[in-house]
Amino acid sequence: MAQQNTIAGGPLNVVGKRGPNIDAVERVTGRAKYTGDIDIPGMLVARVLRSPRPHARIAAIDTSKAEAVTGVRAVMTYKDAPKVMIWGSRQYALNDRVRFKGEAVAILAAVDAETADRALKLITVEYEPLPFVLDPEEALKPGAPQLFPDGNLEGQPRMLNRGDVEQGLKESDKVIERFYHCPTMWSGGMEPRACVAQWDGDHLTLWASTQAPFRVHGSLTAMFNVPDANVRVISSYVGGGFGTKSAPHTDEALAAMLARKARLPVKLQYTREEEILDSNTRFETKIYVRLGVKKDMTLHALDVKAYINQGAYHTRLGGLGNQSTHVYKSPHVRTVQYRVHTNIPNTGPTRGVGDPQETFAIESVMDEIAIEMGWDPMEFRLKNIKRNGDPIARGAVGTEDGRLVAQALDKCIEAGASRMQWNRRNAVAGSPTGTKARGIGIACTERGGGAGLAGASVRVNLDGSVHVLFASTDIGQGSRTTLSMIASEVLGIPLSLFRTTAGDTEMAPYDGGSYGNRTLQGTGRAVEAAARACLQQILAAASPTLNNAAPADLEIRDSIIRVKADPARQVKVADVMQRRGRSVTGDGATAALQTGVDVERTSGAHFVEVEVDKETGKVHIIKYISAHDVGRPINVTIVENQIEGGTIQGLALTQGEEMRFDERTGACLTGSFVDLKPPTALDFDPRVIEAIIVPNEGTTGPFGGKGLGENPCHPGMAAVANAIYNATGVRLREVPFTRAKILRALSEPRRT
Amino acid sequence: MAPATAAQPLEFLLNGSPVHVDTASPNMTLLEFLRARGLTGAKEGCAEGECGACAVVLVADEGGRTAFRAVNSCLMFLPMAAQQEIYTVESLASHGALADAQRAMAAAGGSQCGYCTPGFVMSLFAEHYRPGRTGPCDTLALAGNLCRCTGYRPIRDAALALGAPPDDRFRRRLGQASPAIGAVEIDGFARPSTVEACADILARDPSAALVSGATDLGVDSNLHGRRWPTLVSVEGISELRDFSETTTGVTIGAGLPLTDIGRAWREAPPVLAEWLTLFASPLIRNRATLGGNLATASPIGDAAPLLLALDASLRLAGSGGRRTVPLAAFFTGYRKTVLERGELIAAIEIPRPLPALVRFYKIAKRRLDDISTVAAAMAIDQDTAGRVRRARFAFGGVAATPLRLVEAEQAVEGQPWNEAAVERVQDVIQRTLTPMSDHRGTKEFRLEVSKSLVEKFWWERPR
Repeated sequence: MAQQNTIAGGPLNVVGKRGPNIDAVERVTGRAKYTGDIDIPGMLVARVLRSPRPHARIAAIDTSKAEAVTGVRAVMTYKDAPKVMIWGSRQYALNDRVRFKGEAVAILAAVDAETADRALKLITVEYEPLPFVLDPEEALKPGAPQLFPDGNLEGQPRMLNRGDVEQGLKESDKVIERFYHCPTMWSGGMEPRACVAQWDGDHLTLWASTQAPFRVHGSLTAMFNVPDANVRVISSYVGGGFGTKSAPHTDEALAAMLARKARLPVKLQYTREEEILDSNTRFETKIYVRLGVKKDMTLHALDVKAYINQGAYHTRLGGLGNQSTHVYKSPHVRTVQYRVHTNIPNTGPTRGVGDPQETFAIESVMDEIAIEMGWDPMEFRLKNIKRNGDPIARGAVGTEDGRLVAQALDKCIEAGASRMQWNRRNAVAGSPTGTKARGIGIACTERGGGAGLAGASVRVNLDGSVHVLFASTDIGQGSRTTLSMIASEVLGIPLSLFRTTAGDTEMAPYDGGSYGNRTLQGTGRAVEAAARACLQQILAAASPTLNNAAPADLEIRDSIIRVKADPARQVKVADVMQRRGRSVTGDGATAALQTGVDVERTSGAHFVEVEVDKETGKVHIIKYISAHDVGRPINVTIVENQIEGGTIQGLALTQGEEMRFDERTGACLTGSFVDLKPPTALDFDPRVIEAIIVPNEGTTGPFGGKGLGENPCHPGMAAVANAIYNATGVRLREVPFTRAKILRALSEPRRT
Repeated sequence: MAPATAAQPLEFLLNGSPVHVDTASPNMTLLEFLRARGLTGAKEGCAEGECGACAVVLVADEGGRTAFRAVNSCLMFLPMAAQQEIYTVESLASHGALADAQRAMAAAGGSQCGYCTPGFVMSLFAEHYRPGRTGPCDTLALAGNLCRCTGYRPIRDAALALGAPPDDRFRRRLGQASPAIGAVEIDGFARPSTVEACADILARDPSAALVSGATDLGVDSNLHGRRWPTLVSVEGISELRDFSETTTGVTIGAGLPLTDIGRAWREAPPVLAEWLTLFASPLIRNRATLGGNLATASPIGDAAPLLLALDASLRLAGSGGRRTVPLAAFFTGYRKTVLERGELIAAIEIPRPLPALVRFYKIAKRRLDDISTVAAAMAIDQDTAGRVRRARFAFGGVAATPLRLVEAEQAVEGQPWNEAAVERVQDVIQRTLTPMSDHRGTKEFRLEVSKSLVEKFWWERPR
């Protein structure tokens, strides 16, 4: 149960309410068409041959037998694939070198799945094996197997410096040094990747399960060297993405290549195993932290060195967030990130990108030093968090050239602590004596949102119904509903008259896509602007029938246009539209969110009470409070669901979803739901999770709303680790917190 | 080898209308068939029965009552649909009016990305119409469906919001008999109706493979591309679905779905419910059978440990006649059994009286819908003086086969059941068991957990 949204605001009629998704009926009836549901007459089935080796050159490849199979329409290898890399990656769709086990080596399309499967087995490949490396630190050592001619380090280490960290550590009264490890983890959605490609001459239509249709569009126009107008990417219903579908991927290129060669539509649908092995999953982080504090409870110096296991190819989209620099005030901060290529599958941004991993390190070390100093970990945080007006970096560099506004982390901490009754925690960690020990932990987090270019169109039809068109996507975060509510609020036309077209690059203006807390603040602002443009046109058209009242003196409620000062004078939107005889269209586009010094971020604080069975190592979640600043919630039901869903995903990382690799072969040992074990409805009792929407209002988003999707997934690992410590006195610095690890830690002699 | 009779058309009722399939690949799944017909509400999420995105509903007999049963359509070969009555998510709404389960899911915000939603709706629909249900829907009915978006609270809210089913066409359907699942023989697939006919086919066609609920075989087909020239389903053999309970024992048909065992066994010990709840998921239990679970002889199968602790025997039947084999002598090696070519498990016999105290424990990564790392069943009978009359310690996941620790049993029989006895059992575990290390658990973890389960069993004794 979440608390009622109590934000006081203007006279809003739609925004800030509860309500089901406007497309819920399509989804519960099975009518919603996902990419894999698309069927085109004559469509071929594609299959991918994948490398059995983690690192090899292809010495020879023979596809003649597969091509001879009746019903096979096209076979492709690196020999006939375009030599253009996938957007944001160093990967070619097909290459003569493979860098992870499971990488595509050849593809074919056939009239049906059985033929395709049979033919695939007839392709012979001779591999020249190369040495491989799976660990990011090993990969940087001299003599390590090299993935690329310029080495395994992706670009230069990302460095950020504020103050003088070495000096700051020297000046500190207490310094602790710790290591935190998060393995590669799978955090994807229920729908495995799918795409359908169809060429008509030089025009490509690609249906894809992607979060970012225009990124895919850009990748494909570059690959096939065609104008933007020649490629249409459609991503209507997407079965979850959580970041793994936020970047263009090889599958889209493979399907498009194959369809072009076969001159027939092609469907490429990944199996669950392919989805796990050839996706962009959550990257491994090895984080070394040094933290220094002063006796007056102030944080003084923070040094973070991170090794990020990027896997084979991805380049642009990995890395830590801003947990080290944006949550707490510290005069001296240094972060160094080594983004390293290894022979594990591609990784990429997954719900929170590197923030959950970074939050695990920072919020653990904050806890550790507070406890060593004898401070209340919550008081220590409250003392050091950045508050409104505090300096904060505007960009990715360290300089604190901006000023924090609309921040509510303090309120999140206070609301969560009050609800959890923070004072119940064990004053001395590990003091419970029974078999089952309870403890309470806290973790804070923050993030930005709404970055990049966004656009949308709104069209009011002749009957007064409304179409919202946007090229970002609804991946389950409810953007069809939220964006329609924004337009409904602006236009005064009820939600029941709304239809949406999501994720279509031909129908809607450019938009970066749905990722990084950006749909509401980016596309949402564009929708608001588009709706306002429509409103002006409708009011102008209505003016003559309302005694030429000025548009500014008119308002629309429930599809009726009224003179504000004389509500009896009114006309229906539909009547105005019919008389006008032309639909009304408005476009909205937004660029950078923040141009001045003001910096708006989104924050949250999680509190968890656990019970640890000291004999079995089992951790039971007793109570979990997720308090978040979302600005003004547009749809309270959706916000609560996002908070709870993200919280469960964060919790899932503490218990499983670890991708394990065989050191001898490079093979993934956990390429199935059987071994990854996403939580079921009964693993975490959802009744123990409580979402708190902390009253606040943003300064940039539509109606004061802020992006939210990523944040609830950040704090789980740290909050649970801190709670386990409070319960048992055992500090876990490696995720996941398996029973075996907890039992081992409990049996080790305690450090004091 | 050619089938004995000419190929027959495959017929069944789909969403109330008869469907007639002239040619079907026996390896095609029901899910593939539905989706190819444009019924794309059911999705493929994993093709191995882990996620439930493909769930549809069958009309099934529940001991004389008719019920809807949600099953994974990815784990049913299409020929298994012959003579069945199947409903998909597309059939629930009528003239624009949503079924209650759909309405509840929509209202609660239980559908976010929506990919898992049709599967949840079908599980919830079957639970909503469950005969004899009183009170809100049981959220355990959703344990075989995965969702990644919601965190499950809204889905749970939807389940708890559903009261009695309306008096509609679905409820009226339950007032009539379920379809009879009779003999079928088409190219590559046979469903005989007697044990003898089944044994005949097996004897005639050495390449024929037996299949029961296909919850294991289907995974082999879907994920590993395994193919069988002929599949012989035991689903039409009514004898294999019998259940009887007498003063001397309980006989469970080897082809009775697990769900039905819980329902049919009226005087079952509490361990039965514990065991069934932990056994895979409801979607799997609606198809999976004890015969299948035992015959596949997996060292981590969940059936064997409990049945070993209950001193079960297996009634085997084949062309050579019938015989009864103690379960303890059934497994001969990794995935090997005493079953001979042309022989099948007809029933499981559990002698009475049952042990006074029997428990089942399963150690897995996830509480429900998981594969065991270690499974254990333990039973104790004591005489009036408190000495152990009969002890059974049975384990899965600690050796190449499920096994009974006879040495440990002997070490405590005739002695008081106390901490010293527990230590003797633990000593035998430490000395004699040689579990392997894999990604589910190390050898040391499996040994440690096995030993601690014995202690747990002792601590949990009634006092």
